[in-house]
Amino acid sequence: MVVVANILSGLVIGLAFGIALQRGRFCFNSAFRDTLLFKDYTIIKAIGVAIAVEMVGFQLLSELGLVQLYPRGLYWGANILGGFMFGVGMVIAGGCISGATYRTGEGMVGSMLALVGIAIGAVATLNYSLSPIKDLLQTATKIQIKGLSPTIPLALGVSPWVLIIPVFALFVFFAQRSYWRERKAKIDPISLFGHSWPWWFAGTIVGSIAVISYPLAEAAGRSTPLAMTGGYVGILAILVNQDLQFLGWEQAMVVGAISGAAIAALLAREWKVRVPPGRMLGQSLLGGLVMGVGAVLGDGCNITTILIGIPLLSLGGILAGTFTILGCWTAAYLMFR
Amino acid sequence: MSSVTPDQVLDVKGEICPYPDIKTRRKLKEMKAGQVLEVLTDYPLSVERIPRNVEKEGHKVLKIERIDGPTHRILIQVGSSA
Repeated sequence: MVVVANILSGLVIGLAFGIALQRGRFCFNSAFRDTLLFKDYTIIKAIGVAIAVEMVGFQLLSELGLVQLYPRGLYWGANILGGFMFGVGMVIAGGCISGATYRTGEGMVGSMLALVGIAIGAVATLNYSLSPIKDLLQTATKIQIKGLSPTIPLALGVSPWVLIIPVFALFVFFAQRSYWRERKAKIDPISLFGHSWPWWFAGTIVGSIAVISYPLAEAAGRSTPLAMTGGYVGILAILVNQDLQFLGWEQAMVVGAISGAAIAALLAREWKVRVPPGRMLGQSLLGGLVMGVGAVLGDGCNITTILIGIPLLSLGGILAGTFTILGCWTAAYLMFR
Repeated sequence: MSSVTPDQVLDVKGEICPYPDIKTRRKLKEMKAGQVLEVLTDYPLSVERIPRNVEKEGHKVLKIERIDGPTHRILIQVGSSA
């Protein structure tokens, strides 16, 4: 019964997450790449808002005793290499893991192949040929503080609030400034299934879903809510072994996310099976493979490092996330400039 | 406005990030000021992002029209500064 409850909670969180991803166009690849290619900051602002909400939300949950925060580890060599690979992979594939998830829900066949690539690349790095490289790199460059995964407050020996309050204030300042500036130009009323959600609304919703999902994920034994790589690895295991023992919170969550995105796309009249030209299908699969390897090597996809790791002020997450952005910019520059 | 006939048509249906946007930008650069480009795309993010960004680059969006489901037709007039 506990298992069923966990699967249901994963499914419900996934549905909400999928709707928010699709309506907010919440793709980290678009977010970072667009700042370079188009000087477009819309999606990166949404991510900033989500991070600000989570920073406060996660810490509050922890203070209230509702969750035990487990930031991912710092293995600088693996974080740098894996993060960079993930960033390059998402440009090749045309979407990060959350982007490929919501676009699969919209009916994009290329994005579905990217997810297949992610699962295969991740499994190869977790269990097969690439596994020794991962173990070697993670062991050789592992750093802990007092036996714990390093976070900025732990390294500085201060309370997390000393950092969270000023950073949150800074985020709020910039967000409201940007909001009022845009508001002068045009007023965009929020429509749930019409025009895509404005960045501040999408960011607040995604951040809130992450906060709500934290205790639920933890109750199901998952330390990083909304992380998707393990979900797709599990789905692959279910399909290959035809065994439902691999079905858990994470797998239910990604199935929910694809379904949520499909529902949102249907309601917004954006659902359609779309097959890109053949070369792009190959590119999606290849990009997915690179992302899958990078995600396991660097201990995190864009969700684990940027959406969850940064608000936890985890040094591993911040390092891997930084190199994801650098990888994204490098690949985008080489491919599209 | 419905009488506008495009000088060139760019069909990027089925393509995703960032190809519709990049191809639109490249096409607009090849065209002369005052000419009209018709872009056909079914990628929702680009339907919103192309108009936002071509205007920043000095072009004029004449029309955004939903054809069917996610498929949209965007008419862009090349700006003189381009």
